Amino acid sequence: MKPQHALNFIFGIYIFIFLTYLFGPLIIMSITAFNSAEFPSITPWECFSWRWFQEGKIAYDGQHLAGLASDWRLHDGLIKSLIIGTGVVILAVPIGMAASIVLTQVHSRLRTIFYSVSIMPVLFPGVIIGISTVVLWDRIATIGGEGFIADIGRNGIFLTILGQTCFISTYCFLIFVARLQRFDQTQEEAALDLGASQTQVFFKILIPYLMPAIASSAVIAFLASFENYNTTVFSILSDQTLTTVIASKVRLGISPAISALALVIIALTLIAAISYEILRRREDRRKKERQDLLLFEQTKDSRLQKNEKKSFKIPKSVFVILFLMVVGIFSFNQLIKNNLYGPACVTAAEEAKKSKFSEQLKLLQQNQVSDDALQEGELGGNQDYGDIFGDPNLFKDFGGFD
Amino acid sequence: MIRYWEKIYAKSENIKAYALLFPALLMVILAMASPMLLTFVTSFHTQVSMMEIDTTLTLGRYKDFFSKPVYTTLLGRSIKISFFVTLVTLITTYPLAYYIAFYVKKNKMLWIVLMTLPFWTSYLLRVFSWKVILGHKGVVNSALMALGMIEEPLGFLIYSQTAVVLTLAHAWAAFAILPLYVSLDKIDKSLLEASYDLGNSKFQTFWRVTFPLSLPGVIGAILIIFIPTVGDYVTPQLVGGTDGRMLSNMIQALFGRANNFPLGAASAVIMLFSVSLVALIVTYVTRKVSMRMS
Repeated sequence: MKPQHALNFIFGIYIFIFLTYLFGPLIIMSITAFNSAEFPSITPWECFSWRWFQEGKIAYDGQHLAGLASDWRLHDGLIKSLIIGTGVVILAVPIGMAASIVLTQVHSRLRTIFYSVSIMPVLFPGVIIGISTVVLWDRIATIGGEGFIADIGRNGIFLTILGQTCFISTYCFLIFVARLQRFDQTQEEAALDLGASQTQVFFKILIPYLMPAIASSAVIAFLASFENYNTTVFSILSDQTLTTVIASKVRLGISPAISALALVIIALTLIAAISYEILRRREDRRKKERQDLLLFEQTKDSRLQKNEKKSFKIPKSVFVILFLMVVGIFSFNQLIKNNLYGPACVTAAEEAKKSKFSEQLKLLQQNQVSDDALQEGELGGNQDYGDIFGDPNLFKDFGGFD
Repeated sequence: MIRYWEKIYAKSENIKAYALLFPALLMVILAMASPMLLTFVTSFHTQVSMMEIDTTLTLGRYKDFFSKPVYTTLLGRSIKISFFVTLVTLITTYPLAYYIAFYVKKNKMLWIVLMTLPFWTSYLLRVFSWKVILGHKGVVNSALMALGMIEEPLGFLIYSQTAVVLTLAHAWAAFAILPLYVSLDKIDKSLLEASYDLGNSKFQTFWRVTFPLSLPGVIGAILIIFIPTVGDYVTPQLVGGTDGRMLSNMIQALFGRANNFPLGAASAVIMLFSVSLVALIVTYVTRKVSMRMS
């Protein structure tokens, strides 16, 4: 083997491992969304079901494990996240744009200082930003007394928008700076020479030039706001956003409904990424065609003329889709064959669990200890702990909590 | 009167600029500067009782921070965990950025989009996916138990510092790939050819030419990962357990249940300063190293 080939081989293996590491957790999580068991897992596979996307289930102990469609907390959080995201976009994009325009105008020595001040918020840990916002507005609300100021000062959504804007506007700022660095200042000067006012220059030249940056910074601002947790968890106060709902679910009881939610979000991301890529390619091709045409018209060189007949080529992506379909049909077939799909399977699994549960209950009832035995001690009863709870004066001198 | 102001407004470019800037400036002051300042001032106060705060300025909270071992331990642990996260992320992503920059000829953009795809899904869900995998009833443990390789779930997988490092390194990979790729892609290929012509081997070329030239990207990646991970709060809370708890969790507790705002503010300020210090040291050292190399 040539050393070149060996290197390529090692790279190939490495990339495979890395991609597994990058996507493996997400794929495994997505698969667990279809397992009907209450705990997200793969190996004790009960049944293939859609229940975590729908109404969830009521456990045998009466606890309701909500699915995606029936969880009002998630819906509530989602709406609040959307409101906050919109608010952040409205505030952060103009701020970032204004700051970036200032950066191009100020003197070169001031520029370094201004730049470092502008990117400061990114360096602050999000926790501190959230806490500071809450502390400040609590003061303002206290000073302002009752009424409007107190209302907005203690409104979680308002505080979250402010707190997130603080560092998200910096992301927007960086995007605008990157775009403005390639801006041709002579365009502005030409417009001014031709008699345009400053306002006209701003709206007819600068804004159209910045349009792609405006779009991408709006998208990034919205996504960053949507998935922020560190700042939001403090500034949201008593309200809940989608991320804080998810966090409380992840911490307290992790259920496959979260996997289902993750799968939905991943699917949306994938669709967005693919459509973006398709649009970008189409745009590239159109631009190239236009350039070719222009070149041909200028030179009249017949070799540059495009011959119109196009041979039909099967795009490669079709094979991928076909492969996925075949795998899907095959595995679904396997599921049906092994009775692992459908309501019958789910009820069977529930029955099995219920009977196991009642067996354990019976076992517990058999081993039950009588009340008298508990009084006496030996078995972890009252006597074993020096009979502290038998003392009638136990809470007599207790003044209560401050 | 109004006309007078209009005249001034039309005449002076500076005033016009400030007028345009005013909303942004107001926002920066309202959302950014004043909360920070208030936190800074609060750190010199004293919590007397539940509701009361004594506003005489004192350094007592900073003394508290450094006299109680809990806080310094947590600060040290935060920095240690972030250091390992940065190291792991750099080591795992550098070869990949290198591959995309030098070996991929077509569809570079597609690769970049693919690498950053997990970043677009929610950060919390990525943490959750690790919990699903590493948890006591998680995929790894239940698979090993089903195969009969272990009797009881492996306890060290989750709720440990290792779990925190692994989760964070996975979550921040995309942030490291981008700056590394940009700095590697910018390298002039003729420099590499010159290096080969002068008799350097592949490894020597990498070590003497490619790596020093990619150092700006490396510094960028280090800062981008290190700074937010020191202050990270949700990952240690979800997968860290008691052993993997970090300083931000303590700060949160001080502002919440422990109800000691001044001490919490002091911890926040100290964290901020130590992060800035480490960031400065990293930048300084790498710059020195890159100067010596070139």
